[in-house]
Amino acid sequence: MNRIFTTAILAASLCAAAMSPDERQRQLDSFDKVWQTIHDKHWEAKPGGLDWDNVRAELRPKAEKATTSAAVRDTIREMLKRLKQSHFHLISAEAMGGLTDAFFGDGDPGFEVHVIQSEALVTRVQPGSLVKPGWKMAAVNGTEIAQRIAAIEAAYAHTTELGLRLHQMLQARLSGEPGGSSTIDFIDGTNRKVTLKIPFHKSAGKLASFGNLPPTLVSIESKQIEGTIGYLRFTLFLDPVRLQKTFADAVHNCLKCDGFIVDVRGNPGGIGILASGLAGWFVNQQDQKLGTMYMRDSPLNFVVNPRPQAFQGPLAVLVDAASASTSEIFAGGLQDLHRARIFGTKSAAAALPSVVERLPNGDGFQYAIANYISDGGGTLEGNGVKPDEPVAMTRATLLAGHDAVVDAAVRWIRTKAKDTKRSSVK
Amino acid sequence: MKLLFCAVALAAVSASAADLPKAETILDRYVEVTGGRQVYEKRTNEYTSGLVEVPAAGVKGKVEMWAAAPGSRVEVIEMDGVGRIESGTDGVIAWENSAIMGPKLRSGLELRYHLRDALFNQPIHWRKIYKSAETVAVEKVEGADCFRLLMTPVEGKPETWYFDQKNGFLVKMLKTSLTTMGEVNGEYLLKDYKEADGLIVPFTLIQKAAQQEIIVKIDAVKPNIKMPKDRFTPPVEVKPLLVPMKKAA
Repeated sequence: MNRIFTTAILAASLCAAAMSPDERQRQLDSFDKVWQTIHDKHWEAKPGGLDWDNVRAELRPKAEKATTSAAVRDTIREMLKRLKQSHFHLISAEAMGGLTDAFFGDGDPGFEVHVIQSEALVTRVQPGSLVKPGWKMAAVNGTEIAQRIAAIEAAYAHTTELGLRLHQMLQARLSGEPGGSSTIDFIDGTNRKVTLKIPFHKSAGKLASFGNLPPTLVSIESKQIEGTIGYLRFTLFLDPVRLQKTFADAVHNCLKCDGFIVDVRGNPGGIGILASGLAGWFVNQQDQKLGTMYMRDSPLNFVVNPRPQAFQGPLAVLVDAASASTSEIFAGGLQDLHRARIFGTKSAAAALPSVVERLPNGDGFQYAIANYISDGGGTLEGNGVKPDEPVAMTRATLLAGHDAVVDAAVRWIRTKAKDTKRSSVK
Repeated sequence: MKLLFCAVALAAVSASAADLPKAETILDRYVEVTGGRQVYEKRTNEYTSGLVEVPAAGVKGKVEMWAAAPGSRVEVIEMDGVGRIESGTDGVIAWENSAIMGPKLRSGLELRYHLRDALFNQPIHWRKIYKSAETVAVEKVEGADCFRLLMTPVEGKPETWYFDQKNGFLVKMLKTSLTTMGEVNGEYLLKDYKEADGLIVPFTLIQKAAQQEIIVKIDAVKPNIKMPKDRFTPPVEVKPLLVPMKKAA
């Protein structure tokens, strides 16, 4: 027993080992690079309204006194937190290499989970799954999910990151390599506990990478609902070639459909300008833009290039609290252009265009380079996209086999189609 | 005494400003030091290839460019994780087509900017693009004394060009580009001048714009190649956009 304690103490002390002079310098260089980058590139002369020189004067000595790499990183995070803006993050060197515990392997458990009213509910299942929509996910490999949700809700309350963090936590818990499995406790529709060993199958999605972003699984779904409504859903605005091809095929096969649904719930964003590129499949007028990105030197317009054969019928875009960044640029811009009706719950309100750089210590540093104003003049950061038709999934509707948000969009499209037929008869 | 010193200093500044060489002389010298007018005039087309990198974002790719007299050009960039971005002009229309943004025909100011920008052998034809050129100062660029020229185009915002006093090379430009996303102010550094089939050209181009630094390393410059006839024809994605234009005409 003592030996175990000794080993644990040794392991802990190794983790907290003092930095070598080289490592110490890399960490301090990283602090300096983060501070300098924000000093040089933040779109506000006073980043976040702060005296940025004072921030350095206060925190640099703290970083110098730190005895571990983790402590320097904490100081850098403290500096970033003071901005109170989204898209300023450190990404650990391990995550940058795809080796962190949270790595999303390309295994698929066959169902999806979202946090709805502080519960992790199954929202979609693949054919043949033993799991049912509306079941509550209580624990994964012994970890109580309710506790994890409560901890994140406490840590990120009143921030733009809450919905995203909850979504990411669930994604991490349900990730794994094909061939592996997880033991998951569910509460079924009759409130009974059901424990299942869930195998991970090879996902239909593909790993995509873009620059310094860690490789991430991108899943794309395209189908028609009842043969008359196009439906597109994708998990990230990455892999533009595959995404554009899917949109092209979906639109060409559905040009005379009653309507289209683009589902960006749970989509945290990706390449910003891809929002404009995809909007081109639904906009047929020239000189339209989703919004404008304001940097220190020049504004950049998120112009939409209309496709020669764009879909012109009713368009519904579905959002939730985990729809962030590029998803918000896409949904908010189309809403402002009066081209789409938005369904769901308010988006994350984290919509600053950003880039990811490598720091001297190997960490990734994500920082926003611009403010973004949607075409209607509103700032998405801090405000988010507010649905035209607020509607949330509930356990009861999921257990009844319905996605209430999709249902609402379908109803609206059906109504619009009837109105169009009536007016064409007249 | 102090006043007298200031007056002398002012006189010295005025004298040096008046002594600056004419912009035409500096531009002519550039033609000479990069190969001479005859070498330029013998070139009727050109192929360039290289590597492009956005170091801060970790994005890399390949770039190729075909250009021909009097004003045709096609650029193709293949970026990892982004796909193909191509743009071009046949001297009449100008277009862009990218995996992200889709196809677009340029129009108005943007079209005219890209038609001017594609003028082949610009160093010997600069008067077709700029209505005036003026030497305004001497400034250091990366430690080297340079003549600063104010170049005013026939349309659009003035540009600032810097020529190395010693070797006569163009080393830096400040200009506003007209892009699909609007006007973009940029700083362009031109480095590593080397000989390529008789012409001395910069093999490293660094663009600092929109909070990003883009580095292009040229690996080949080939003049007077056998240019495919359809090289400057718009890609298939752009052709449907030409139909409404023809109908309007």
